[in-house]
Amino acid sequence: MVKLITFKCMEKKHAYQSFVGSRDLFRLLLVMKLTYLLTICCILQAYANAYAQYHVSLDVRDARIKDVLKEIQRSSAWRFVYHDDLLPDESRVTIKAKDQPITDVLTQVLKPSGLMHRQVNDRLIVILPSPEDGVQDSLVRGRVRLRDAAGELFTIAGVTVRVPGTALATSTADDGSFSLRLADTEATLEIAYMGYGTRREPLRNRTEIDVILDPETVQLEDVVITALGIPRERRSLTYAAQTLAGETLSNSRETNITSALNGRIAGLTINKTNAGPGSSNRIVFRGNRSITGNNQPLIVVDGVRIDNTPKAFADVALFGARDNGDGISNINPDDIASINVLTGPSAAALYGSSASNGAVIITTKTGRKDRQTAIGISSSYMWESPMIYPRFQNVYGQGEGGLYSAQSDQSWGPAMDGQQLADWTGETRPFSPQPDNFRDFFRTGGETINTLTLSAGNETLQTYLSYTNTYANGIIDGNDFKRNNINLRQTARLGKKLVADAKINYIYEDVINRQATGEANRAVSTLYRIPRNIDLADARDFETLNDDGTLTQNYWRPGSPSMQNPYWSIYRNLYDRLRNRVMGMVSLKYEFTPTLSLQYRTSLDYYADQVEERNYNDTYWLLTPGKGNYVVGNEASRLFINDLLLSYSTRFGDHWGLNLNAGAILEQYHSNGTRTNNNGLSIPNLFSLGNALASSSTSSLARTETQSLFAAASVGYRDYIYLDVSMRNDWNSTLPAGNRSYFFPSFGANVLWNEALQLPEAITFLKTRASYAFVGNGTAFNMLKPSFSIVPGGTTGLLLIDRTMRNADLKPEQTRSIEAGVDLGLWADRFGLSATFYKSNTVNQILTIGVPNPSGYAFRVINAGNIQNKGVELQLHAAPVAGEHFRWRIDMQFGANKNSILELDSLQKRPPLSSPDRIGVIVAEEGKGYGELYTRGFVRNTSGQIIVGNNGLPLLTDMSFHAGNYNPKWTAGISNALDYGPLRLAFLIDMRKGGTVLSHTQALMAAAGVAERTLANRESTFVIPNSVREDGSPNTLGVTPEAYWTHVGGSDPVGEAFLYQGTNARLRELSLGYTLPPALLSESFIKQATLSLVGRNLFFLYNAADGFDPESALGTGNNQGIEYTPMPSTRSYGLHLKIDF
Amino acid sequence: MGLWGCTAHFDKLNTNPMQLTEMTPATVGNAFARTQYEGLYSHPGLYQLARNLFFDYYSQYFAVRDAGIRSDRYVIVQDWIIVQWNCMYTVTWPTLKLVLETTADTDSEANAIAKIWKVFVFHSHTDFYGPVPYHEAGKGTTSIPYDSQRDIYYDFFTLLDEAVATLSVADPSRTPFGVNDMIYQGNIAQWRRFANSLRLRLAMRISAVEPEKARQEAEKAVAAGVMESNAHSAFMATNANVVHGLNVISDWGEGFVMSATMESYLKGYSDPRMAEYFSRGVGSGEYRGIRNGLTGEQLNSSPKNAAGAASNVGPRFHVSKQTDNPFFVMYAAESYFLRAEGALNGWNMGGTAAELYEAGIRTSMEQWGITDSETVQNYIDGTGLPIALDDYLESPPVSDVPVKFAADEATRRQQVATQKWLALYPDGIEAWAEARRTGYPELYPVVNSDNPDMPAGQLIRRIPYVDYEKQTNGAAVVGGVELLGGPDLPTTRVWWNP
Repeated sequence: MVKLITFKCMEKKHAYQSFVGSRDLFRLLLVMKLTYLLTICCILQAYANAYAQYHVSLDVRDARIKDVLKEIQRSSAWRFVYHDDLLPDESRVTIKAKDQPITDVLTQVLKPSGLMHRQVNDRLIVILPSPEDGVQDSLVRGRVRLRDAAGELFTIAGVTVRVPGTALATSTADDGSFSLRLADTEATLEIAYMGYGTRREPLRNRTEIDVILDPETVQLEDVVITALGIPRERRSLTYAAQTLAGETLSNSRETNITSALNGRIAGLTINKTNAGPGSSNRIVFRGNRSITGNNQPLIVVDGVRIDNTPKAFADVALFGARDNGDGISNINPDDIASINVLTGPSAAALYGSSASNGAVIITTKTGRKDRQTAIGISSSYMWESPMIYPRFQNVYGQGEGGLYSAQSDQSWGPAMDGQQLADWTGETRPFSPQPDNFRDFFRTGGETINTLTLSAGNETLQTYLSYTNTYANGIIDGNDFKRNNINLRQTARLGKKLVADAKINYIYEDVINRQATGEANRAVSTLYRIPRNIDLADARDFETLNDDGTLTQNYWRPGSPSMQNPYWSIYRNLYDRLRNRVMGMVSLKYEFTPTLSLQYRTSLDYYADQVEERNYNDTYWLLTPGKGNYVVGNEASRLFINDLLLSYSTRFGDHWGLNLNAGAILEQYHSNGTRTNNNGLSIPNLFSLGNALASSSTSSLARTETQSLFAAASVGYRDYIYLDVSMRNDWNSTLPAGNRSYFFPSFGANVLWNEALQLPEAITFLKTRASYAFVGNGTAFNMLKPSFSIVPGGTTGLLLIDRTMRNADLKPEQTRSIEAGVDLGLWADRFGLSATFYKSNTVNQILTIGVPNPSGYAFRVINAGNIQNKGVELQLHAAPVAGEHFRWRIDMQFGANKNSILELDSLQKRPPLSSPDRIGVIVAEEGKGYGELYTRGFVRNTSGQIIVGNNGLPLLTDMSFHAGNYNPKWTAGISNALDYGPLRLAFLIDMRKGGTVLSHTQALMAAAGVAERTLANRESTFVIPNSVREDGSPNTLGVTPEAYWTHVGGSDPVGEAFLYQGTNARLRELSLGYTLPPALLSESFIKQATLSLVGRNLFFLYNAADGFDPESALGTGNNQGIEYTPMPSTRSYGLHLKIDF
Repeated sequence: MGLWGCTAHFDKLNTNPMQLTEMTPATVGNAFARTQYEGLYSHPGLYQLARNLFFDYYSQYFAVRDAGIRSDRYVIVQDWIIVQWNCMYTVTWPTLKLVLETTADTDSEANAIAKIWKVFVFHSHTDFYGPVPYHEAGKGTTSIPYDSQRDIYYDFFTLLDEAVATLSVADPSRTPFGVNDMIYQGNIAQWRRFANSLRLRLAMRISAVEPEKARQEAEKAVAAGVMESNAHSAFMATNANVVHGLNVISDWGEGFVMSATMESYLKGYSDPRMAEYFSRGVGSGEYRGIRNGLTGEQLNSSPKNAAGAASNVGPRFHVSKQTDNPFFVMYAAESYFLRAEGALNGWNMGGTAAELYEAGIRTSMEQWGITDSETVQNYIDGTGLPIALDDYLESPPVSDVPVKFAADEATRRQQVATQKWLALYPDGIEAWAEARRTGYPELYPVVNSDNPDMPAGQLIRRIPYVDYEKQTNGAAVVGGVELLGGPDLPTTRVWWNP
């Protein structure tokens, strides 16, 4: 369906000595392969006759053959593939031809140099050495046959046959035959052909051999899977697309693949919830677009969207956030062949609704076609431990006002000088610091991932089967994670015209006691404030069993308002989530002709989550009466997508190529849930729904449907100018009848200057591109009309009215995006640069904004706003050393985004994005950026001095202090790969500049007197620097640190005092791999074996924040920029063994 | 025309079948029940934010132990106060408005009860701020004008007139809203009495600014029959899904404890209700209060303020009783104290001030389970005075009046107000309103104010308009401040509090 070839190989200047195994050959093979896969099988027939009819005219004198070929290429649709060694600069030719068949011309050009040519398909001609004349009678004869896409065998001249390490070499004749004289009949022959890789065939004393070569699988670097699974050549793209090989992801040993994108994708901002194994990430490309909606990209697996509904949100009632995992984190990294990241709406326009946030397009592995069975084993074990700890003081212990109190949960007590004091357990012991009572709570986590893959098949039937078992222990005792992924992919060519592809992926994921973040009751939250003299060993004895079967918690401050024994928290407040998920896909493709096909595809993503929450009696802050509580939540969601895709490709004239895709999509989403709360238990700590004091249940529902028609055309002229047009119309069930149909087009164009013009030799590749896209979007379920629900309560239920003023006239949202970019390759691609500039405006945005409450409503649904994101994405790669033995490759990426809210609503210029949190509120503000954080600050006079009250403490503002914007100014990453023989060393450094973070943890630690900063002036008083009294007179009132920090810190703190920039740089990844040399394995059944040492998130090179990871997120919603007693960020390191049989 | 046929099913698909699309007479009871639950701010979260964090401190029933609760130092924390404003206008009132509209033509008795409830929920609301949006509230408009408090109060009396007129001729066997009326289960006679008692409360509230109107309304109320026994008192039944908010939040650690003011009065009067109102500090084993408005440093610097030293709420407000402690709405004892004050004004209140004062005390004692007549009589005759405290600030006695009814009118007024304050516990909303109006009971000065607009030694007079309202309904707020007749400050007095 798609044409063409890249011919970077044409300009290779740095050919290697060794033909086989060199990077150049690799590229040659690649080129062949593509051609083969995408066009060959049928087009060959169609164009075979036309071949001879192409005529060329030439008049050159003493020209380099290379240039002659280039010239022919430029004036025709033909592409030549050859190895640089064959055409040294000194091979020159003089020829004059007028309108002669190209075959004749080529013969004239090549013959003097002892070369020949072979047509591979309608576009591609391979230049090869001519078979040597007068080949000696030989000991070994053989035949090499190649298999085409339809499984047919054919022969071709020019397949290289050689004996490695010797000069002995030949190539096949037209009938595939070859002969070679050699003395050593135990030798191994290397048989190589472009697109078919290299085959090692031990002779084992045979003198007759028959070899069949199968095509290599598609290489990812040059084909990009775009929207709806349509493969395109990278060169033809008119927008930015960034590709990562599956191996890169798999090698990083992350359980959530989005973590592995960190630092590798330009324009990506990622925040982790740090909630233990398998927890969620918030990923945003090119800035936030939606004020109140989703800002995360689409996740597409094998051409179809999967459900990635975020399930990690800040919850005011929890005083923190709970992470229930997202959709993408279930995907098994070991099954991924490649990830293509489309950061902009242009690229994703064909996906329609929601594509304005970009898309992550995942292609999973398929079976082999080479009639061989490959079994792979991948095993890794990773250790995990906290990478950063807060800074504590270790001088003063438990108590308040300088006085010791064994029942205090603060550290404003006396200095710990080893004096004998009765502690909370009743024993009298020396009063001494316990400097490690934070870090000793954590265990070393561990994560074992074992994958078994089986890949087998032939040209007509391929099977890929994998099983992955992930078992992880979080850094908190009792937090375990189990996941089983089973994946079966079956691809079949049924007869000549029908291709079937089917996949089923089953995921079982059990997350045991994942910790919530936030203040109330959480183990980690208590640990951040644990009095500095408390010995963790004493806290381990966390409960007493009473005669009536209830438990009594042992804690130094019984009934504390927000803290409890951390061991109680992790053993007696349990939260488990179980997910069963099935993702299936069946696709049938009928190829009417080699250039016309119709594909029908149906896919299902179904998952059922069960959440169980068990709280034992005597849990502080339990909102229910009775002896403990039990809550069960069930949620099932189903995303069902059917699509039809008609593809046509053709060439017309000598220079034109056309691809057409058109189709229809039906997308149906359904989700329903129930949640039952026992509201207390009758029998203590028996967790069953029957044992309820007053059970109450609620249910939830969402269902949406989108129907779409789309068409896309791509026109190529001479393979150096491409023009894209796409259009799509959606009918969206979430919008009112009059507005539910909306049309959106996209346009794009590119020019490959290196092919269009004669550029300096150094420039291997130069492309400029530009695109413009509209993307329409609907809204959420049931946003149009008011509704009333009944909830348990009162005597026969309470009626809840709709506090949101619905809008029956909602229009679709629209994102208009323009981007332009340049891709440059220098010195045979030893250096490459890709730059993209973009601007997108989201208008008619569907917002739920706050309204004056006396209207009777809290919110109103409106179409409004104009949110603009503009920025730049840069990618740079370089190969400073590219020798045979030592290679070094650097990849760098950089993304900067500027967000501006150009316009909001005529009434609401500053709607809050979040309900005010305890430390801050996030607002969208007209004229400013998205994600402005406001917090409490110090009241200052006009000269900026802090005004203090009569007690010497600063007067405080309300939530009106502008803390900054939580979005980073830029992000960047540098990854390095160094290969030395069988060794590979890779490391990745990533950086982020700016982005305000309010640390609620620091505020709590300060108020509790445990933070290192509370040491200053501890036993005296101090005058707030640069402060004045309310009457303007200089302030001379001293305050104690305790008075000050309890005033500005705590649960509702003064964010101005705990404000940080998120700027940081860290060693995100380091790995050292050793691949056993093939020579060692030649006689073994093992084909390849690699052992790697892998480290992730190892350490900060720079961190502007104080003792915490500024990238810790409160959830995956838009509520960012607040750090609220999360688990510490972790580093992980371990071993990864990969064996292919 | 969409794909695969059509989009005709989209409207149905986009509707949640688990929800109702309109209010009907069948669901009007469920809606009314919600206005009771939310209108009383009895849900735990609401109780804390819309009652406890402000009015329970400004009434000086409680003081805070947690320095982070800055509202005790007169900071009007916007994130907290907005909850009351928001609940009133986006839940209680629009729901009640639907009830009124739905019952207007179908059930006049239910409609009358809803009117009484409208007066109840709105009167405390306007008392917080002064002028508020009233007539135009809940209509979905984008700018909602404010009404003067006088207009609002006059409308209250009109609504009560209408409601009482309807209920007076109603079939007494009817039970509008039935079990969905969690206060009186639709008992028409009880609602009539409630309306009259509410009228008496409102009349007394305006007695300083409109004495004649106040007298008329008060006498009308008493003549029509106000609450006279605890059987008439209004409580909302609690159950597993309608819990008592105070019971729940009292378990949320030691954010608030008994105030020093309470300690001085209750101990000075040897008040038998002390053990009902409060429990002994878990650390000190004693009934102890702390002063309002202490800073974190002050709280931390003395063992007298330490964790467990001060008293939490009494046993009936314990978390374990959250489903069976009925939620206070209005007590019969209050009506007696109002009548006692009316009698002192020279109004016809059906008794002398002394009789009504004593009846009020007796009714309150009975309400709290103190039935021993000798104990009660001893209290009534008590000459003990509020005590000086052994607290962090060595606080002097908060007042110098005993329980025993004095001879002079000024002291009597103070005693009536003081006893009403003691009886209203734990209804901080009403207690603060009456403390503002009468100037009694005498309260300790709030020790520190972190609010530059509010001097520490003074009683806070109102809640300034919330920031969110200024941002979203700004022009109307300007009109509201004009109607207020003073700056939008916590020191500005509302209309009935000259």
